[in-house]
Amino acid sequence: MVAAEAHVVLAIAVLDWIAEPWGAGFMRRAFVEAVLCGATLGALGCFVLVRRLSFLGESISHTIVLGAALALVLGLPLGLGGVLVAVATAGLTGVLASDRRLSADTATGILLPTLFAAGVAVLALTDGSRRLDDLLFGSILGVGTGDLVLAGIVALAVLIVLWGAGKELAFVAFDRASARALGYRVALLDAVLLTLVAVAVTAGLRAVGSILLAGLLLGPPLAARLVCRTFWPMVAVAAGLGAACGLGGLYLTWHLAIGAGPAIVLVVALVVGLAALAGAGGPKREARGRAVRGALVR
Amino acid sequence: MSIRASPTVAAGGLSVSLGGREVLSDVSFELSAGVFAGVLGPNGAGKTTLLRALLGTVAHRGSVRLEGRPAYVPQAGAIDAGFPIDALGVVLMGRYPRLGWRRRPGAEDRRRSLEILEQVGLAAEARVSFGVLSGGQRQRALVGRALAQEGDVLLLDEPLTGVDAPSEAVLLDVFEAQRRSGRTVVMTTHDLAQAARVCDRLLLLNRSLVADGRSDEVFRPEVLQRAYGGELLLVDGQTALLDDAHHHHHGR
Repeated sequence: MVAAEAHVVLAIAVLDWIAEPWGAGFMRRAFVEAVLCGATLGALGCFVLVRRLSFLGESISHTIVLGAALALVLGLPLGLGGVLVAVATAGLTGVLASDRRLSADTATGILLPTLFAAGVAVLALTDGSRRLDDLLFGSILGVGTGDLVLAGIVALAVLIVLWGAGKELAFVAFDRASARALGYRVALLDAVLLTLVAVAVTAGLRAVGSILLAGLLLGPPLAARLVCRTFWPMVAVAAGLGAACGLGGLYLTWHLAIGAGPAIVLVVALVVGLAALAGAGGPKREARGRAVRGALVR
Repeated sequence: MSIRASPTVAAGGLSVSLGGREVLSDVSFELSAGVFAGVLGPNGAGKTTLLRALLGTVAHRGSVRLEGRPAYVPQAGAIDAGFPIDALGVVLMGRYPRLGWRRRPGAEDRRRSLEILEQVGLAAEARVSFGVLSGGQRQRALVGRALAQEGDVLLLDEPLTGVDAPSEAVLLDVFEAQRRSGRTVVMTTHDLAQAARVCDRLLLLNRSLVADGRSDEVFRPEVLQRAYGGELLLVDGQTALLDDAHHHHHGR
């Protein structure tokens, strides 16, 4: 009987642990924001990953501070500033990398700090400096209805683009030369993808902040890649993991009083670690399995 | 598929410059339907560029004509083997153009793709990751994707380079079947002897078209010398080539 009571007490404690944060209005909004941003960034991050543009994604998540700063100063929508600077980042990276003496990672390596520093300088020179911490580390506990609407619109836009041109985007990622030969407008598809990433990253600034954004953009897709063999399951798993990491991180924030951005990224890291264990040696195992089956058939 | 006498693939005074350098200069030829043409030449001869010009994916001067729909197989090295996809998924991609935007491959596309996998000898590998397949099997999957496009002209960029013997046999059978069904097959290759054996038309390229004809017309020492220059050796009256594939295709 004592044991049964202990179970009940434990169950109530767990339910309480789970339910408690939902009592606060700011936490409910934060949960919605985290799920929307986590799922959106997770899905888009898959394209960034398979295109081998991880470092560009990392770069954009930092240079976007300049876009946000300029948008604040000029009174423009944050998303617009984000897209312009993201496109500028990708474009300048391409221009620099076209010099044979430079590689793309060198170009990224120099552009990232330069544009990031410019963003910090713009904030310092204007009255935006008090926003710097928010941009760097996020402020998900302070999201308002406007932020949720923006995150919702971005999520919807990603869904629509993936529904309409998802397989074409995947084709370009797999085999650019053939996509071109088939008449796909590769440059246009690139621009669509880049714009989506830029907008999603800008929206994600609110959730985890510039410094940690790459974790949410690249972590869930990496975890999904480790456990999925084909692309669309990977996208679905990454979106789900992104949302779950957002939720899990917020629980850590509530119960352990860790900053929301770092908490979310730490959960992402945990998930990547678990996926690495679950998917360890996947290709080798697949190859070995084939060898065994082949021997049985013969 | 009827065999037509008019050319399905043709170039007239075709020139291409890349980065200010003329890569192809004044190339003219005509191929009719049901021809299996081999495009030969040393590295940098413009073989890949010729295929791209035929596809219309590089800017060119002069005229290019490609009747019907092309199906293209790029060099295996141009494709990221780390992309999460299985052999069936690769072949299904060949069905995308006919599906158009929005629509996903359906049961008929899968049925057709499985048939094609059978044809290229990958039926048992349908669910195997592209990255786990051997080089020859990857090439077969990519050719399968081109078959799934059901094009009229098959443009193949070094489909047999670095490919194991069983895969090579399967692929040559497939190309021959395509040719017999009235399609035009154009293949770039480094392997002179093989091209002489399997192709009924040879285009010898070195920036410009050095020779164009049957193997006995093209494989003459003075002609090969003009295309390959110092890389050509004459041994006991027989022609041998310092195969430039050896210099460039490690690690594939």
